[in-house]
Amino acid sequence: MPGLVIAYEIMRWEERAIVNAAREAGLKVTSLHLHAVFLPIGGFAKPLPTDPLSSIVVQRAVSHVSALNSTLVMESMGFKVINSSEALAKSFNKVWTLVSLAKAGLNTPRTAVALGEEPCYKLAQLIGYPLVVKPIDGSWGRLLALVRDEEELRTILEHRAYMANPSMKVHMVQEYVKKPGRDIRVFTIGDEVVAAIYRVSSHWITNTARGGRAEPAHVDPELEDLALRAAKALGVEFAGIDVFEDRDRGYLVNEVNAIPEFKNTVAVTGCKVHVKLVDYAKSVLKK
Amino acid sequence: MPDDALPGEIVEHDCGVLLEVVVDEGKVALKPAEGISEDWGE
Repeated sequence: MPGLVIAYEIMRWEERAIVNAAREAGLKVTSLHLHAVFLPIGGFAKPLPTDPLSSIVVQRAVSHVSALNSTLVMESMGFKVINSSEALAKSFNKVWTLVSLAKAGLNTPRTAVALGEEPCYKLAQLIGYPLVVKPIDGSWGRLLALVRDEEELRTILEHRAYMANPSMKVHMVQEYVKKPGRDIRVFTIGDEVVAAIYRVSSHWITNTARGGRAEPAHVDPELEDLALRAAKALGVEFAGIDVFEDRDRGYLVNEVNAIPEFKNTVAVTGCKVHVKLVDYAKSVLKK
Repeated sequence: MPDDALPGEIVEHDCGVLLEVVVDEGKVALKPAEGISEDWGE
């Protein structure tokens, strides 16, 4: 009997929806609570009651470190994981994401990295104020800083200097894109765009985790093509792709989320993202 | 709490507090759900 393993740390609405959809699709579901198991590298022991040849793993860990490392080990055991460790690593690191997108010829916000404070000030003059200083990892709009002048930049850099996390010494500086009060989250599964939402907010951070309101979004052929090319550039089979609308340059791909939340998207679009993900997993298993 | 609740499952109390299902030596219990950690995200 073909099986679906859901690897998770906490089971939110999304993980529960995937479990229920997989059961309804006739798959044998193994719920792998990552905090309760060990995972042998290379599979010298058998911790999972399922066969890599007849099962597929959907990675849903909420911690990026947990997701990447558990995926690496499960792949070493022979499991196919959605998304792959390489795709997760690329999407979790915002620099790697933008480098991959740029290599693929996709338009992104003007962004640069500076490792020292003085280069940051020079970079700011080049990009122009206001600008955004971002962490190279993280999510849900955490630790994003809108910087309006050199004094604010000095303050942000001073705070970062006292942060213990070494990744906060990599200053990712991005132009402030004047969005029309919203951005777009496009969901891709395999080679298909399955749903999209506008994240509407009067605040410059539009994440729904930060109060952005989800509304159904229209996907035109250009947006569809862009999202699929972005997914391909990172190797993600399931993704939430964040896109800005710029008045002069059109669509700009900003981020790619490899373990996206989709509760709000299901609610406002009616698209059962979890069912489509399970259908896709089944189709991969058949191959 | 759902009959088939799984370890780590997040459930909402009537008062709005989020709780996490924990299973310890076969016994099911609830603890306050962790809000956010440094590397949590999508």
